Amino acid sequence: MANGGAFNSAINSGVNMGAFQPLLNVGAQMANGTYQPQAAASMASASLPGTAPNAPPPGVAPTGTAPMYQPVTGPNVGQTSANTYNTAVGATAQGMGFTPNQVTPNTVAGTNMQQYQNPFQQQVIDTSLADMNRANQMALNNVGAQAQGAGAFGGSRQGVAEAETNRNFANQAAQMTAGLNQAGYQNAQNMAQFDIGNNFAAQNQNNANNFAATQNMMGGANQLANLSQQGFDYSNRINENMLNTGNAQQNLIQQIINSANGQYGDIAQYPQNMLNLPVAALGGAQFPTTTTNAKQPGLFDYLTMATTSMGGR
Amino acid sequence: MSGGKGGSTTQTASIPQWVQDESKANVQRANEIAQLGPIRNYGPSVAAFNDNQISSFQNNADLASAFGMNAPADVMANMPTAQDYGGGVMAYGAAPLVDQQLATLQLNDPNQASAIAKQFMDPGGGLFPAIQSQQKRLG
Repeated sequence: MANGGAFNSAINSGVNMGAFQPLLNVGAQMANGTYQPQAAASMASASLPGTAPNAPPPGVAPTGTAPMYQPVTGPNVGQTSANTYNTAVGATAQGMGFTPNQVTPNTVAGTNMQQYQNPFQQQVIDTSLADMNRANQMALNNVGAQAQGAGAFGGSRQGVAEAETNRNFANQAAQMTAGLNQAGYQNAQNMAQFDIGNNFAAQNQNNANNFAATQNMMGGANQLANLSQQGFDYSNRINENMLNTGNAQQNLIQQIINSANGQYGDIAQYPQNMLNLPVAALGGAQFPTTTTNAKQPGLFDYLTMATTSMGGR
Repeated sequence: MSGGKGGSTTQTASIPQWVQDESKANVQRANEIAQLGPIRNYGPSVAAFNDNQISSFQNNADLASAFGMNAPADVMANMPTAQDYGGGVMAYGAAPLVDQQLATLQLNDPNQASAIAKQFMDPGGGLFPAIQSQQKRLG
């Protein structure tokens, strides 16, 4: 199975973490205390409070530039969150694609038994037959000697006895050969079944291992997803705090500008506003009005005046 | 007022002379002030974004970029350059835009602009001191 092969490769050679690998390296360096980011690497020799090699003894005022604490900057939390997220997605997808290898048990019937046969079996049989044949010859010699002692050498009874000896020899040879072959095949079959069992167990164990590794990967992906979310939240919260700080600062500056513009407006409008002062002063003042009475004389006025004049004479 | 056969009587109330003098002087001052014309404000109008805000904007853009989303490489691109008004005040002023608007009025309706300008004195350099340069800028 193709997927299983790729998965086995990943298991055997380690999962390719891609862009996430640098982060793992940084994490490992942070864990063992050897991490030095670019900004911090340049100040590796910088003195931290209490660790300055040339720090004056307690109570003595330091001379020159006081050592300043420089926080060690880590990797960008937003970039880390994104990398972690992508890695989690990739690992999850890879884990979801896991399919166990099909287990195919081997069979004795399908096994080449020749490879399990004793390569020296024929030699053993041949040697045994040679020994049996030699014993048979000795037995035939005894039959001949006995016939000669009885004065019947070459007789029919000697022939019958020799035939019987050869028959026994043939039977024993056949039994011996069959027994050795049977034993050899049985041994080969046992070895084949042992290998078949081992192969079957190995296939199952590989599947179990791959499944366990996949579950471990899925667990890691879940952890990465949580870390990604955490990093994203960190990033957003820090950014929000930074924005709030900037907004407060901008608001302060805007208030200064508004105040300045207000005062400037008062100055620019002063001439116009100044005109109201006399008006206000006049409006509030109680000044007297001069009333002039002018009389136009009428006809009776003239008559009266004439009568008065004539009477006065 | 009465009249007729018996004649008539007219009664007149007059404002004191000093009040009349003050009123006339105030009107004179008003005419002089009117000659000043509108007084421009070349100072800051709106506070500019500061480093914290810009960093926040850029962080947000970078975060979007890290997640594969489109984001400007420079969040302050195409933003006007803030001016240093001293005292730590970085801000934008509306005066350049007002100058530009006046210059555009001068170009599109010079008679009306001139009529407005004739309502008050020439402080030197023309009604709107920045018009000349704005006209050159606008071509």
